[in-house]
Amino acid sequence: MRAGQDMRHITLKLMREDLPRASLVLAELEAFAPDERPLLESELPEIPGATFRERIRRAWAHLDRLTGLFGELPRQDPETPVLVLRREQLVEIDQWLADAWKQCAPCEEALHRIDDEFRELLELERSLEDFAGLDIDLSRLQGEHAHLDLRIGAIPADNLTRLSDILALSHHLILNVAGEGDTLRILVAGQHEDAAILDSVLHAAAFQPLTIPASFDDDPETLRADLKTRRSRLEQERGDLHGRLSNWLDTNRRQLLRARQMLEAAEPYVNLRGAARSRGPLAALQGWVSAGRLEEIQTRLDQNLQLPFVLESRPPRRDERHLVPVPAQGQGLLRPFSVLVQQYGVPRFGEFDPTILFAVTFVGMFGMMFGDVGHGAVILLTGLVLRRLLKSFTYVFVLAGASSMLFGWMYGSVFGVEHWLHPLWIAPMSDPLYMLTVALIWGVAFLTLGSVIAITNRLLGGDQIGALFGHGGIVSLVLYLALLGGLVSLARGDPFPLLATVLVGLTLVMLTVYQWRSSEGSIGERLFTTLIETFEIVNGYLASSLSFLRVAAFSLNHVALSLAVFTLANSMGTIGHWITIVLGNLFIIVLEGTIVTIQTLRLEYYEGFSRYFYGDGTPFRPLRVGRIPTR
Amino acid sequence: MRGKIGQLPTEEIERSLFRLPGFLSLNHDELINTDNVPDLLRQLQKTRYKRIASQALRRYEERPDPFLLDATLDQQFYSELIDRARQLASTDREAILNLIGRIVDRHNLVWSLRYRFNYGLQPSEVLYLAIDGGRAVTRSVLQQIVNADTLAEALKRLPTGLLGQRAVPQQITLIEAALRSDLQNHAQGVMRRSPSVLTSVLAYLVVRHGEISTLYAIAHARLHGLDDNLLSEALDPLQEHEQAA
Repeated sequence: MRAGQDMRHITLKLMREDLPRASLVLAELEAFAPDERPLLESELPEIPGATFRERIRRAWAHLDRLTGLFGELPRQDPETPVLVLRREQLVEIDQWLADAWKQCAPCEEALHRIDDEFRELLELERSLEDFAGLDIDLSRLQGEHAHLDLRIGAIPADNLTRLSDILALSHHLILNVAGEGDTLRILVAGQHEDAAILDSVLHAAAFQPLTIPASFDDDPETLRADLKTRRSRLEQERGDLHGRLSNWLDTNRRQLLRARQMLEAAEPYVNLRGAARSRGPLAALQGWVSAGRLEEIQTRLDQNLQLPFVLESRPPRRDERHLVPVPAQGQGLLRPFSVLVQQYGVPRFGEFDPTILFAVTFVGMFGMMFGDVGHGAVILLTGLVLRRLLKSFTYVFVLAGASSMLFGWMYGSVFGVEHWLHPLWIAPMSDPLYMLTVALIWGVAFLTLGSVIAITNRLLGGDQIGALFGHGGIVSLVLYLALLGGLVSLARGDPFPLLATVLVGLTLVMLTVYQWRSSEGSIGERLFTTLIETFEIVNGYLASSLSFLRVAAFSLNHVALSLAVFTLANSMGTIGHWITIVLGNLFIIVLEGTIVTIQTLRLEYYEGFSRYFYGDGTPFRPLRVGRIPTR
Repeated sequence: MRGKIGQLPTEEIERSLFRLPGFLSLNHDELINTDNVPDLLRQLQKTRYKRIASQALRRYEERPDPFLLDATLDQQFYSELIDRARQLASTDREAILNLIGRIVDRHNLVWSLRYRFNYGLQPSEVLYLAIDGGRAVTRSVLQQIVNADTLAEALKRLPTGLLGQRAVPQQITLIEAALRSDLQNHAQGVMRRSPSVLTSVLAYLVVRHGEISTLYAIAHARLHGLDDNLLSEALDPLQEHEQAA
């Protein structure tokens, strides 16, 4: 139950030549998280592989550019053995990829140029359409004019307002604006002698002039034919370029795939970074592994390394506890619950891992709030039907649905009908006060358990003062239970017990003294802080206990919602009745199911985790074969 | 981009980049390994800087002017910043727009004077490259300034009280130093007194940037063995100028 309890720090001492192979073996096992602290710096001052890393990066950059040009390459056959990339192979691959990019880059450049020309052609076609609706002699837009300077072109839509304002200052006009989206087509007019001014402003506004073809003053058919010819020529050019690229890929596909596979195999070595150190031919790498996998690691290294090595392991030292990475606990049924826990935080090394407790209480509270055999069955079946989509979260649906069915049986509720099944325990509406009492008792138990875990975590972490006086510590827990006991006694009509009075008084004094001693500032400020902090502890416990009343409230809410659906359905004819029943039940499942999930998570995170879970641990990120996306 | 324009080696470019957290950072490898500036801008078009990169690419392809590229990037950056500031709640909006406006004023005035009188750009183009959102140096003020034929004439048209009680220097570098000092003083005040937390944070960054630039200048001067007089002049050209006068 304690997070990362079996983690061991390992140091693998080996010959430098074997480092890439060792990193690949460890990566294949996915059991080793590198530790980059310079623990061995004095004996092994160098971090090996700087040049290697640089070359790998450059090679990846070229490969990425090629992949961008050709689209995603198919994956290699998984059966192909992963090979260690030797230095001379890397040099060769790097050079080959650089040459390959040199061959393909002109095609990419040409494709960009063709795209630009296509865009210009499109804008031109649209411009001509725009002008077709104007009552002017369009042939006059061409060529030089004695006094008038006319420009047709496209600008980014963002620049229009600024351009209009600035052009107005220099006595130019934007006569026609057309187009939509990112680019607008404009016709600018000004005096011929201001051409230089216009040029400079238009350039700054990223204005792209559109060349009106010579055939513009001919008949429309000739013009269309001219544009069509230009389009065909561009398409032909583009086709040729794609053909050349495709031929290149056919000839070089094998080499390209090999390059990628080799680079991926080299990634573990690259990702070791400071975790590997060396001096001359000697090297060492260090990191964290789970004790259970030490033997497997030793065996695989024995099988794969060619030169002698020594594998040493030790438990984490006290001063490095906060650095120990913690593997996610959940496998199988627990996997989705582990994901939900990690939404809040990763358990700190040695602290209580709340995944199992979270899973059990989440499923239990969901069922209690949403107890219905029919609705639970629908949730369960939905999970099974959508299992491909939901993946591991299928378990959450199945377990929540099963819990809902179990509590439904105990409440005697099937699709909100309470007379089909005899309740095994109680129908919630028959005694709401009893339900609220049960929820309150559950809340007290949950909070007490949370405090006990918090105290244990602090004691294990060496924080004895925190365990005694901290939030949810021993003193505040005793205060809470004593106060609760006294209140229960008062509710029964008995006096506040003497023992409870003594405990409440004593713990309040202790907390007040502790708060006073740990506060800073002037006397007034310290007094104020002490009072508020102490009040907050007492109030926090009481408010949290009352917070659990929602567990009962939602079970009552379920009955009330069902009643509303039946009342509505009964006021309609046969068809309307059944439509309302079906839609009403769907509404209950979706709406109430969602709300209950959110409320359960809120109770877990806010009333539970905030009390006992640090959640500031380091996740275990093992070395893996292949590229890490966030390089 | 400057590295690409200057054709610096990859390692040198990389050394000058800041490592930002993953969610903020661009893919350095992808950008560094581009073939040239247009290629770099095309890669940038795939990121959240698409708008800025598209404009810069168009202008650069037509005329590869590094300074125009700089101006475009600055203009787009500040426009986006001001757009975002305008969407803030009223408590923060006015205060932060005021501070950004002063930064924009400094930028607009210094660069407009340079474009107009050092590079000889047309007034309209200078105005086009200016950033909207200035406080004292609005577009109409700037229009009057850049329409002047000489620098001396332009300086006469500066708004009164632009530098508080201080007289406006007659050289662009000194004007820049004076505006920088004015901005630092203003930011110091805002940092301490502004009711807007966001504005205080921005003011803090302005002040910190100023201090770090000073430290950087001192370190550089020491590394390159510059003498103390030269360093003092670089750090506070205004004081040196006044003493010389």
